[in-house]
Amino acid sequence: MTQKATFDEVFSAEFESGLKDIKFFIDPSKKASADELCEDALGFQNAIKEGRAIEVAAVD
Amino acid sequence: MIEYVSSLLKTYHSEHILPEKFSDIPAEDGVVLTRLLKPIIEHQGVVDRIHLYETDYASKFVLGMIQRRTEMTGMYSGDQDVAHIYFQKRLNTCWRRFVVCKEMYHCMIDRTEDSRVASLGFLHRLMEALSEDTSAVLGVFKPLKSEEAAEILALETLAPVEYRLQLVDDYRSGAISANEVAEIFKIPEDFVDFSFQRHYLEAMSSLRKPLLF
Repeated sequence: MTQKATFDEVFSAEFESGLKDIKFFIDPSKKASADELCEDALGFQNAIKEGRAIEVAAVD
Repeated sequence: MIEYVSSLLKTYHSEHILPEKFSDIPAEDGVVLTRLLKPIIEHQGVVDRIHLYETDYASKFVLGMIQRRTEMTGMYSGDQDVAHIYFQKRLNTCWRRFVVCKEMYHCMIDRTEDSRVASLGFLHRLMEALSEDTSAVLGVFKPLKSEEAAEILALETLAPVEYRLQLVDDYRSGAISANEVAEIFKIPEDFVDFSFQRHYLEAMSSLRKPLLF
């Protein structure tokens, strides 16, 4: 399966399961193509699904 | 949209009393704390609860993201609108604060369906718009406008114009550096110079009136 097909499959499933908005903070010091951003967002999403996102009470 | 900053800071000031002089800002924390903003945004915004998460995923470009869902949170509490904000664990405190504040602002400003990304088509369009090849996106695309606005609103909230007006002469004369300003407000240094640009500062101080003090 291509990267784009995986991206589409993963996020389609998210929207179907109730995701009603998603926004990103992109590093302003870097330039990326849309494909690179999709690849990065997919990796981020997979990390969340794998339980690699730990809830924190606050950041300051 | 700058009225959201005025509203949030007014509430924040009424609950937590901001110091009138930048020299009285506590050195260790910054002036506006995101942990104190969060309950205000949960009250004034479009979500009932906001959760924060750090991840060890070392992404190249995405420093953070927000995902909003309607969730069943308890037998008696029914459905609630919940925002999950994720950020990279490797970010320092200044970046964490800025990313979290920017993402929380989406809970204030994204009130209409066309400002949200709720389909694969919109997600692809947003990625195109956020990429270096922005010429691929034609016309007004509200989710992109929202991304840009949320960043400005975060800057205006964490480094309020009330204090920047006190610092501007010293900044322009070189008496205080961008790094020192970033340390005062606990924001990324990358945004400091922009925040002092003459036209931008004048516009923000005018739009924010009446200022807190």
